[in-house]
Amino acid sequence: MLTDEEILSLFFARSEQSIRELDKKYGKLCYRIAFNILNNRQDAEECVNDAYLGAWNAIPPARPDPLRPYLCKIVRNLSLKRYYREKAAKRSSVYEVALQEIEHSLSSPHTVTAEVEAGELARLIEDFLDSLTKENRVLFMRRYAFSDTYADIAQLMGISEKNVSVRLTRIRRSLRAYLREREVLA
Amino acid sequence: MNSKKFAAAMTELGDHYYEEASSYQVKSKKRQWVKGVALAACLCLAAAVAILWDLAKSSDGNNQSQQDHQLALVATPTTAGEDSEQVPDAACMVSFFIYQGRVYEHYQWIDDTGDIAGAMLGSAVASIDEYTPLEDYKELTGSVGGDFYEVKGFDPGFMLAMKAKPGETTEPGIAIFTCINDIRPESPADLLEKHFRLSRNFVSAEYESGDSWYNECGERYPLSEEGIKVLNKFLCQLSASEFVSVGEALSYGIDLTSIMNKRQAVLYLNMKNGLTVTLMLNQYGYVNFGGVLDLYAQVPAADLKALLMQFTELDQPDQEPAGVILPPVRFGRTRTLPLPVKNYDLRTAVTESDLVARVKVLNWLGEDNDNLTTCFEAEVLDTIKGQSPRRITLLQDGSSEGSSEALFTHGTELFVFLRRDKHSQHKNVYRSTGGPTTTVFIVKDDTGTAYALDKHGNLTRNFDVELVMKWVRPGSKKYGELRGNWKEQDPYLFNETFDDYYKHVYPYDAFVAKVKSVLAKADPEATTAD
Repeated sequence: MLTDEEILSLFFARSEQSIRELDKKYGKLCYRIAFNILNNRQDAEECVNDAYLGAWNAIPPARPDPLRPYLCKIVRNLSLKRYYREKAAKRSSVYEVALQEIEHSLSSPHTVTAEVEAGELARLIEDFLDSLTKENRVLFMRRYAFSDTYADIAQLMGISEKNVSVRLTRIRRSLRAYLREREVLA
Repeated sequence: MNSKKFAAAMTELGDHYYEEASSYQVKSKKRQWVKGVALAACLCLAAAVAILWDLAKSSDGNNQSQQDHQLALVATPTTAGEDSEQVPDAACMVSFFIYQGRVYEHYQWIDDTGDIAGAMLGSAVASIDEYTPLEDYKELTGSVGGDFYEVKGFDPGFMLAMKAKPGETTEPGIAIFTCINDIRPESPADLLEKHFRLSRNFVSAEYESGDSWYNECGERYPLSEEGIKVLNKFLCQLSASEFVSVGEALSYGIDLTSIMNKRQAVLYLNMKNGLTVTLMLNQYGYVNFGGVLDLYAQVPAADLKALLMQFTELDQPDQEPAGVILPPVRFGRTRTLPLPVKNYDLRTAVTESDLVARVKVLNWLGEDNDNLTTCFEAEVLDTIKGQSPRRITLLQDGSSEGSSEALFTHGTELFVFLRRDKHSQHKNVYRSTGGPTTTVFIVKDDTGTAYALDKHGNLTRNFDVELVMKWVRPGSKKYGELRGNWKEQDPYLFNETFDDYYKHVYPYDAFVAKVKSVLAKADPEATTAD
């Protein structure tokens, strides 16, 4: 399997092999992110293909380093766009379930600064993530950025599903308190 | 703040958070690691010489154990350095120790009433953390340390105890450990009676909803006297059942681990000494023995349902209307091979059948375990060929003793090609002409439109071009929708090999039109009734 640098070189050489190599290395991860959000195989595959196309158009001039999160974000963005646009996800979509979890924790009828910008919120979440242990940070990201199921996370991290559930509950509670302290939530 | 904004913010997080999460690899997966411990312990048993050598070598370790009598049911601190920040997480590591080659895993805390712990059997040294290499998993070591004792009235090969010293732990009393690698109960009865001695020690029962358990809400409710009676019957059924092999279930496309995630309730059977047997209950009749090995059993769904009905405070999401009788199992105890049947195509299926109709399966009527058949009441919804009463008895191959495919249940809709049959107890009996090969499932899309799902493909294989144009192509959006609905509608009839088998999905109307045209050509005089 090629290194990221070698794949990027193929992109810069405008070789279509770059897409094949990208797919070989990160295809599974990308598909999983898309499928977790869309709960539809065909839509997920299309999103991943669109992400590859996006990468093809952006590189060059862009030279993303590291490549993996760059690709993850493209796939996530495209999947979310499709999710909101087509309402394609079913109630059973992992993403929707994850979204409900976090919404339950963060929504408040008395939100004082409801218009906080996404970018500003991202910085606050980053600060919060930095206060967590590595494992809990990964746990949070796998659930709310990658929309992994409890079972997938449990397997990845070598802990039980229940442990995943309990830890996430505690992290969400901490996040809520954290945002309250900063007056993002009332 | 809404979830959309949160989602947008998550996408804007720095790359390194994504990189960290996507490249994460656990250093030592707990579950696998425990299995690794089990394996290591087995190896220790097999290689007694090596153990003796280890023990001899670690004689100073025994001295250490004298100083290490404290019970710490948290993992030992990790070494300093980059992992030090993970101490709280490492604390989630399972608590265990190794004694006589057996691995004893923490099962439960109970109050120390003074008459639980028997003779002291030894001391374990808390020398293992999650980064300890396997070769260091030696006799009398573990992730917890301290003196351990037999538990009065219980087999030390199965259960041991460690005492907590006052102030040393946040938890009171005695920690109970059960062996996870050297016991293999033959049956649920064996586990409940021989190992837990449930019937002679039983005191009370409590239940908790699956949600409460999952979120650690601890909302437990005592079972009423009436509930205890139902519980007795349930436990009799459970004792009479056998363990369900995870592998065998998987061969049917049933992932028990996944199914148990849909646990509906947790039952706590409290015993005299404070010990509790925990049963995780699933609405399909599956039972998992919480905290003890990875064992599953299946009881008749009706008995489990009767028990769940006692949990009045719990939601009953899939409650059927009163009077509905569900089949006791969806899969037979053993897997059978379907009898070789003629390879029916649509024409032969139509011409050789007495009744071609769409039916809805209703109550389970009974089963014949000698002949491996099950009787269902069925309502005829739409007749294409033949005449029948509105209610018929539908025979399906397979019973609780053995089946080749999942048994139907109340609500299953089918398009079937049937022949008249006989039964000693039922009238208007019909059986599928070609068995499962001519049974077409009805699956609906999100709008409620019906589709015909010809699992084996015999009936729709040679469809003409016009019909093929209406084929729901695997991989298409509609196919994905139907696939998802089918799985949700009946996870038993659906199986994970959906994409291998179910390649013949057509709009129901188109399928029926084809059946009618075949019937008109094959038998112009045939009676049809819509």
